[in-house]
Amino acid sequence: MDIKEKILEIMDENGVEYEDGKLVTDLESLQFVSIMIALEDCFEITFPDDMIVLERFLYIEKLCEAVSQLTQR
Amino acid sequence: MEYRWNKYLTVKEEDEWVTLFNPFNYAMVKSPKKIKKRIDDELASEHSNFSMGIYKELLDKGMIVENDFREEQLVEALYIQNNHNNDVLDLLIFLTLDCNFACRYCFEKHEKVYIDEKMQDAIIKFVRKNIKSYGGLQISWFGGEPLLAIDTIERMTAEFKKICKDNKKSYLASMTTNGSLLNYDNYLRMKKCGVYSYQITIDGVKKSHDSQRFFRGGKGSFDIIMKNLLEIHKNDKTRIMSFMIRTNITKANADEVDVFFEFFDNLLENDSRFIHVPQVAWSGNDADTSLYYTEEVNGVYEKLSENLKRDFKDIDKVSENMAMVKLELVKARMKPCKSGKRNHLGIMPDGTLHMCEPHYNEKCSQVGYLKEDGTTEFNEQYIKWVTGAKERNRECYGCTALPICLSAACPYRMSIKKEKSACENTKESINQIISIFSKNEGTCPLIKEDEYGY
Repeated sequence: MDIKEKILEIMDENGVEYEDGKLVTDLESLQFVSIMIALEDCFEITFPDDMIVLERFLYIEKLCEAVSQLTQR
Repeated sequence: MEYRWNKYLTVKEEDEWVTLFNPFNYAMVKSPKKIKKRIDDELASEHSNFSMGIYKELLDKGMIVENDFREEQLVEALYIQNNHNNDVLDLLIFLTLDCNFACRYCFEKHEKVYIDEKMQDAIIKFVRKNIKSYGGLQISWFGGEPLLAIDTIERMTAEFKKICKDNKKSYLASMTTNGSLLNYDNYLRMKKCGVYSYQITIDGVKKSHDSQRFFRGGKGSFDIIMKNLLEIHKNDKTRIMSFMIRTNITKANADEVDVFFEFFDNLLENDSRFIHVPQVAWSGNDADTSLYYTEEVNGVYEKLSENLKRDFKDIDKVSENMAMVKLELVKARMKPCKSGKRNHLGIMPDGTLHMCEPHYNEKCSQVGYLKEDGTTEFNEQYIKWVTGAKERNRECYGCTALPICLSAACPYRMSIKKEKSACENTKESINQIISIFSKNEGTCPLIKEDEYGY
């Protein structure tokens, strides 16, 4: 399963939806933190402070890019 | 259209400047005193030039409002939004009444009572029945010492996660622990269980802490807690975690709080995941001479505010965006106590439902019980907790803290015990917020003298 597919699965499990690659769900703080923890756990990465912002979630491609970069560190 | 200042603004003057703070939305502006004076005069006259930019900014920030605006209606709307929403099902689970500590001031009896499988299953059934009505599930593990029941946490978490996954809901957990069993292995086990936030009490430097918080055999607990926290700091780089380090301030340790904060911050290299939460320990009687009297509490908080500012000591140097993020974090910490919220319930090992952890053994906090089939039965106390703030004291109206406190800062004191005022902490926090966040233009834009034609 590639990164994007896995991220979308985690989003779906948390009731978060994307349409045409753009976030269409109002993200609650509980969802935000829960997803961050699930992403860190799944990809064995750590989000640095400057990545823990809602904007990272707005577009799925940007989020994939960030996760991909972190997995290579 | 006639306009006036919002009745609930806090106005703080310093030298030639005045800072305005709107508690409804945490908006701030800083202006030279003479501009504020000129706006005062224009609002009082009928010839205000409201097309000027300065008014638009103040209107947008809700600092100036139309004359017939009713702030109290907005307070009601905020109260309903905060206390009667379904954003998350928030359960506080007492896993056990047992504890490996025998703290000097503890309100619990520490009976060797653990939640049994029947009650665990009843809670799981309750969650399964109700989760659809909520945006997600938040569990707070509590005790006694919850880590004494670590296997139960893992068992229940597996069920909660499954229910959440099936219903496409988010799941998170927090824990109030004494920290002595939070070694790195247990910490990782809890991380797998979605525990991302901890409250741990450290009552000052080793000597004061050990005199208050010791193991059952009498041995002090400072060293083991610090060792555990240091290990987490060094080995886990996850930034999402948060550790609220609560320090109970008494007359015995008040003078050395500074020393403790400095020691702690140095040891943990100013790790911003660890946040100091000093709490003044007060009592209205002479039972314990180290506790402050109610009327002394404000003064102690004022002294403490200088210490609290250390969390934000670089606020004037960080970017405007970062200052706004930090203000959002403060806002989240300022929310009224969850013990008055309809989506919150505390569950004891025997299924008794209650609203307020520190007072769980008082009749007034016990609001019903959870049955084996996962249904609940509430008594007449419940309604007092969840609607009590609506019958607020008259004194609340006009108090500049009301839009934040919503008369629900402490439902136990305000709605149940009907104390006249229980908002010292909120009032002092507003002073701190102004003093800290007025230093950054991201959170407190400056109105300059030559702008807007002044």
